[in-house]
Amino acid sequence: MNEPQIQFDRATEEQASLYVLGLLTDSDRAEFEARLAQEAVLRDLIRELQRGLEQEVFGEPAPVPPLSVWGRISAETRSDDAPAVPFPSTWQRWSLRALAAAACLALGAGLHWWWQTGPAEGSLAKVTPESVRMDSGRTSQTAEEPKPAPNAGRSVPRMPDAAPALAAGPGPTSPLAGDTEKLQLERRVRALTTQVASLNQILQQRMALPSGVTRLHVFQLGQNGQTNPPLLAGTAGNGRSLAESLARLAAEQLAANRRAEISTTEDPTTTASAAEPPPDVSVVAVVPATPQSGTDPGEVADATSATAGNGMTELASVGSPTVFVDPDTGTGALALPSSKDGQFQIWNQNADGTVNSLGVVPESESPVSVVTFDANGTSPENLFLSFERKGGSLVPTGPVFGGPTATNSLPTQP
Amino acid sequence: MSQPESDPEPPIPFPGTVAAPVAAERELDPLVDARLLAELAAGHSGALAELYRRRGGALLRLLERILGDPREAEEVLQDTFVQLWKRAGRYDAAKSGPLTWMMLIARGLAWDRLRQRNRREASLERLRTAAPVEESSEENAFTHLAEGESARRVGRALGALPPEQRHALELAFYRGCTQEEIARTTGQPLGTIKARIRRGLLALRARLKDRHE
Repeated sequence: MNEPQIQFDRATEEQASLYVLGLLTDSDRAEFEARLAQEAVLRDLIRELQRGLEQEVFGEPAPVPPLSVWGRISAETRSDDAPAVPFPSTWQRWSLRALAAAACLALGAGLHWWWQTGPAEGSLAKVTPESVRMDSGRTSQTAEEPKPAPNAGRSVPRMPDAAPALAAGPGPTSPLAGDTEKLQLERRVRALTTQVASLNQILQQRMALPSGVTRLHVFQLGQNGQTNPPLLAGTAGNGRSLAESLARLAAEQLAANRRAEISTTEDPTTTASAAEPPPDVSVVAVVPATPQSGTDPGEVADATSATAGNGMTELASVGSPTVFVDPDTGTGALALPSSKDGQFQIWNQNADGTVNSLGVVPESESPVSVVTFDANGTSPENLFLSFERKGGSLVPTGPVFGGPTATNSLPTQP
Repeated sequence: MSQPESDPEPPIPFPGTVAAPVAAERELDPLVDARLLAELAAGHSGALAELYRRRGGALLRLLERILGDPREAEEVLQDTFVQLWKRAGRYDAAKSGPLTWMMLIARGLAWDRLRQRNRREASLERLRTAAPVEESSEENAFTHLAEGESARRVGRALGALPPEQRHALELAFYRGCTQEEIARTTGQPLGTIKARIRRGLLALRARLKDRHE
């Protein structure tokens, strides 16, 4: 269909060209827009010229935009009342179902294994009961509250790996909504997740430093001020952060263990200094990869009471997650605030720049989750966290905490 | 900008997924983008994800062409979508289509970045020292339509223009050069540059019309 093309004078066409290119001065643009408001045919010309330029940018097949950039956009635009990042769909839908089904099986198998056996001795990191009892009264009890763990007080199972953690299921904006099969799957997943979360609550009360641990790495992951404050606001600025409390408790527990050892050898000279770890206890506190400006390491170290011991360094007084790693047993543990908007995921960055998941921190009704993970083959400085949509991610996409990526630049994806 | 009365569409897929071929037509439909901007203005965060999936790749390519640095382009792409999120309520369909609006935001942020880092002059200098643009008569406008290297170097649309028009539009569109700057850069009279830009844009319009008829 050929429509008669209205001819404009050259000056108008030139003005229109500059307008669509965004090159008019403010005053010229205002003048031109006033004219546009009056002349429909001129508006048509502008739209046609714009469409011509749009072809330059949008007219050819575009590459898939990077997921990592979306993760940062999502983090920056997420508000407290906003829904979680939409969950994968289209071609990922079926793979998600398969993953979720596998997750259910793996999670069920893991639960069964744990129920029957518990983990091997010495595979635990320590968090004292006090450290995990905070706000325990706020833990909600639901109809799906699990039966008490028959082996409560035994060792803590390691955190499920990434795939089982996917069982957390899609968030409220899941594109799978309305699908019967999916709903059934979601119910199963949620039941299992709730069970795991509640078990985690019970286990948190029972965690104890295994007797075999002689060294403990305690460090805080770096905190990127631009992306994560809301997640940790509850733990910072209260005088003593969760991280500081945990670090103090860890140090005190080590000191107590040491005192107990010493008392059995009847060495009375050490009891006077029992408030601090003896100098031969190797407690390593690794500072954030990006030190906080204005922080006096000495003062901070004093504040945390975690000062003695060869290899002991300072803890920064920020409310970032604290990680415990026992390099001898290859077990790590950390305490994290819970969030309804997503889940933390633990990663290790390999020497070649690739990353592998050490697991997703399970959802929990508690405001604080304490989890253990397999730290074999990792080093503290290469650990980092990311905050992902519920269920975790195959690669880091959300805000990144600590480790080699403390500046929130994402690592190379495998 | 009108708010959506309801949301009959299926939930928004996560960005990064590959569009099915059957949805190709829908992918190109700017009305969908306009609807998504309206939803975004109404506070539907899923709309931003869908806009990113639909247009993030093209905008990233635009930003890479402007900035010449993939990493920096990704940073500006992030800023672009944050700005879309913040400014969706100010989108005025009477002034521009949704694609143009998004394009202008991305381009403006990229130019800001260039100015911040004082690279614009360096960029112009590189252009000045680059091989001179092949001249051709305006009458031969569409004898250069093509499929060759020039079409790959820039987008499909500008690549189809005669070199002198393409070059002028490239400087204006990608570099944000004024007509005066282009005239200085190319050593051509201002009137010639004005004519090239005008004819280039009209030629793009004509090509688009031909394609749709």
